[in-house]
Amino acid sequence: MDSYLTRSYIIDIYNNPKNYGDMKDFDILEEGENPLCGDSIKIYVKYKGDIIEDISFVSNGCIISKVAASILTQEVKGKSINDIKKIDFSLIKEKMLMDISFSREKCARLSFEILQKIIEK
Amino acid sequence: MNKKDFPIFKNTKFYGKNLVYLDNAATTQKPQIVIDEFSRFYENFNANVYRGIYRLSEEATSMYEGVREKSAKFINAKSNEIVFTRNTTESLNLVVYTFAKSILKKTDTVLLSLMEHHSNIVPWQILQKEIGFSIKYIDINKENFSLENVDSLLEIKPKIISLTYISNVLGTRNDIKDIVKKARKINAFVIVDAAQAAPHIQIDVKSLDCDFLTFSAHKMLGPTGVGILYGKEELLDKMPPLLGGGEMIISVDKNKSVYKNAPFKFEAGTVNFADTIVFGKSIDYINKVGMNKISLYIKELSFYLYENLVKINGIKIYGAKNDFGIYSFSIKNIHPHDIATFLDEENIAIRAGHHCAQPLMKELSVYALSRISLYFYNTQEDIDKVSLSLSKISDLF
Repeated sequence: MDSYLTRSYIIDIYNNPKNYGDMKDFDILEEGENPLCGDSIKIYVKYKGDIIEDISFVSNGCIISKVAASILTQEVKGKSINDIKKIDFSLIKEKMLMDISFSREKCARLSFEILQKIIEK
Repeated sequence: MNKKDFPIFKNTKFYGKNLVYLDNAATTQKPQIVIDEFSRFYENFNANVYRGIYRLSEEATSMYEGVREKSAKFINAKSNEIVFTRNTTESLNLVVYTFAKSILKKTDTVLLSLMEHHSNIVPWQILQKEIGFSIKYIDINKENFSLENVDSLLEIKPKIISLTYISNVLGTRNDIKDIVKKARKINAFVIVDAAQAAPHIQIDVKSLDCDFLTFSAHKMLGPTGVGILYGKEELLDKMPPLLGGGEMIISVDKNKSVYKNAPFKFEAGTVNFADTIVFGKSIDYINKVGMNKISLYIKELSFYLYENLVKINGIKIYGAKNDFGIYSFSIKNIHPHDIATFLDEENIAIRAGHHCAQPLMKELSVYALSRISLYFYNTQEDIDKVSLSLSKISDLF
């Protein structure tokens, strides 16, 4: 894992996240935060049947929480609830191409946990 | 200076890099002489203090009491004015739940400041629920980060004033001596949180004339688990104990007990004698280096750090140039945890977060900050490294 490349890859996503922004015509909006570090994320979902037709997020906080949310939303867009339930958090971590220390894992998990609440609704 | 005395700097090579440790306000590293004292004690002198009518226990007791004497001398107090606790937090809690609880009434006011650590806020709030007194906070001047409206708040005649000596976030040093003088005129008691001051400046409780003063061993090269509470003899004598149990009593009857005198009535159960004895070596080491030399060295390094920090693009320092090498800051809108993680890749350790001072964070309109804090084993090279890394981080955004 090349530190410099990883960093530019991560910062690139941070500056140009996918599926970023508020959604007007959504079915579900769920928010979450890590009060200790001040990270907060909103995730909007639009369903077509049991498929997530569209998803977007807005975040306020650190790089890791934003990059993880960008990767997660790309991963689940167009998938059915059942398929999404099979996605393990380790997949998101893998796709981030960076070591996430124990103390930062909660940042990466924030969007994943918000999504779990959404699909359980 | 004296970096070679601290083995962690030779041993720790995370990411293949030398450790640059800049989180000294959280805890300090330990010199070899302190680390060796653990083995020396356990290999030669380990026995429970006070209890044994045998040589080994008497040796351990005399070593433990020797450190009480050393701690007293360190701040110009008398031995019986030193109570050993777990840490500064426990020392402050002890004063709140014994001394303050026995004198405060519903109509009284306790005066704190907005730069207090949670350990000097939360215990007061817990006691407040029980008694119902009011808590007022001294404001902070946003230009020079000093205490602002002290005089006007003293007019409401607080019964107790509890303040930090040096802020763990801002690096501000409060003029405790002056505040005590003013407090005497209104018969207020003064409690001082000296957790950040004890490692940095010569403390003289007689000259300060404060009623209580607290600090921790681990922030001054000693082991964790040892806190110090200084209290004026006549106050400690009158205070009820907090914990009851072994070795804090003279006699126990089915219906009542007779307590020992201070400080022993506050040290119930088996005390942390081993760590306390090791702490004695930290005091010896600091005395040998010399507190004046330490203060002067850190002051110079602190100014050097400040000059380097202000050059970083987009930095905002929350605090004035100070003598203690404590600087909290933000860079552009980069999250403090991201700054800490980037620095960690260079094996540079700094603090990021709310620094156990959430009311201060709210006052400064931030939810978290990054903080560098120095001690005397830090060098200009450490500062050059962190400054370069911070500039690189700033350039990324």
